[in-house]
Amino acid sequence: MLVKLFRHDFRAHSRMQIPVLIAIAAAAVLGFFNMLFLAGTGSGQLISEESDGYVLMLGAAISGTFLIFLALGIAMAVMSVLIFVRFYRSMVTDEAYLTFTLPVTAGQLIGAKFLASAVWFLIGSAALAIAGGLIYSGAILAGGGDFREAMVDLWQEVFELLAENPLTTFLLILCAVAAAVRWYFQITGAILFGASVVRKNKALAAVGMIFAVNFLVNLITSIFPTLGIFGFGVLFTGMVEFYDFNLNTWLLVQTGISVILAAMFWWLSVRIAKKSVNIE
Amino acid sequence: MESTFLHPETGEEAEKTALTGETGIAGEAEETPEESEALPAEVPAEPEEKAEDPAEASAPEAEITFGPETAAPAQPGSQSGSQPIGRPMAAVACYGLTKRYGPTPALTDVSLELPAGKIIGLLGPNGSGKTTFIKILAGLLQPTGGTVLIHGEEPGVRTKAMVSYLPERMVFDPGMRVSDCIGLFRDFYADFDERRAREMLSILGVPVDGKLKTFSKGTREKVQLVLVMARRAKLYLLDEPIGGVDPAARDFILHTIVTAYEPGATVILSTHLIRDVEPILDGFVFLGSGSVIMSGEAETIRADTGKSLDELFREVFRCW
Repeated sequence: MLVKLFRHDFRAHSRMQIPVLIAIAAAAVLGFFNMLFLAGTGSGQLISEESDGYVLMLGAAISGTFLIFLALGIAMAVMSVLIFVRFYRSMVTDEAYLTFTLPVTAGQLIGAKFLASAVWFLIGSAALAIAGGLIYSGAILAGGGDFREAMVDLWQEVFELLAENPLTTFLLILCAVAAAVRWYFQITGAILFGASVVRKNKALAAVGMIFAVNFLVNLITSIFPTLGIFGFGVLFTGMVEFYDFNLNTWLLVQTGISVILAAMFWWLSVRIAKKSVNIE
Repeated sequence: MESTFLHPETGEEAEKTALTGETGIAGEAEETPEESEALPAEVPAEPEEKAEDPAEASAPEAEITFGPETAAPAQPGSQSGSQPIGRPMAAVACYGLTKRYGPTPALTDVSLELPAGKIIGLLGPNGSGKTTFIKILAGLLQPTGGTVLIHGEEPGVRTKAMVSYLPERMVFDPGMRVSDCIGLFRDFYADFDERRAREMLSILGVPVDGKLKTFSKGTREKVQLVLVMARRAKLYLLDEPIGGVDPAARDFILHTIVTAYEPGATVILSTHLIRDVEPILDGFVFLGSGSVIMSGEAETIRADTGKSLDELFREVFRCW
């Protein structure tokens, strides 16, 4: 049932996310040509400096670059918001009549939605990375360089940087993944909790609860690790006693907190789904 | 009033005359002398006239009752409950069912046993608790108190697999195609008859690759109804299926309900449009302010009172 739920959720997401992906692709193509013009020197230059309107076009290209990167950032934010809009619609609005009458358990429901959301988040991230690569390639080509060589050099630098501290790199990735999972479940838990305590204005209640929960979680994830690493003295003196600050320890603590909070919010989501409706 | 339909499974006439049998007094509601006369304790059984499921041909004839015959409520999960030996299990059994939304009672101490294989009308004015009752059976709401059993099981994953629910609102994402909806039902409901669904949609002229948002409201509702009725479920819950549609659509919906539901299954149909549904009802439950006011066999009450259900409804729920 989990696989079937995932498949249907994935398709439901695609109906909302594909237009955003198309927008990202369009921005990437625009950005590529914009970069060709903006970064063009020598053989890559699209328009001569002596031509009329060069300054105007240069200004437009600079603004365009800014707008394109802004558009890509907004697209990623929209994709993330749509993930939760999809969750809200299937669990709280009229679609919930269908969701909660399917012969599946609460755990399967919540789990499938998480998996589908995670896949779409990765797809969105990959789309952004490809868009960034396309725009970067425009800059390389405009400068007369070899794009393939430039990419190899770039990745080599990144790998060398990461290989300097493999443990830190691993913990960084683990911490980021744990934080992303925690972040997903805290928002879905907040949506379900907010919508379950009111009978009207459920959307408003859900949004309010998201802000409240996020504030609380940020408090927990910043205060406790700070106290743990820098000591309780920081509360009274405001001064940080610099112990041997260990980044790896800090990352491990953050990962642990994220895992615990993610498990808590998962339990909350399943419990609310079961209590409010008879799923199991 | 009688209507005749041909059952697609057997080709026999499914004449909608209600069976008569033992009729209990429903619920714990106070019984007036007039009510006790209207619902006699025993009525001689008549042979079944509508098509029978051959698999059930040798089973003892179901006693028709709407009241809780047993002294103690059936134990959840128990297949036989506390029913007398040889007596078929009620499709739906509630004992002291109560639902409150905060301080507001929606259902108060509802006790019923609804038999299998019948079309039961859940009738009442707006706000009487019909939708709340149906949602509890569908597993969308948890009761505040009491017990509710569907074929001996409490509402949950197992009952959702055997209950086909038609809500009073559109539940599909408007961006879905009809084929997506069919695929969803096929994937999650083992009793879904895809061939029958496609046949009914074809009769309606609904394109399977069409998007729901391109259809009219009436067509979307028909698509939803077709998918629900194409399941070979044990219990169909239809919440206001003919509200807000034109008379032609109403006829189609009622015809679909009578001809498409699985033989031996129970249909609970909630509405306040009594006149339209009365021809197809075997039994009825009058729900008022969250309590059972009256219930029984449709044919019996018509014979005893000389009134139609519609007239009786107007009398019972008179506003002045």
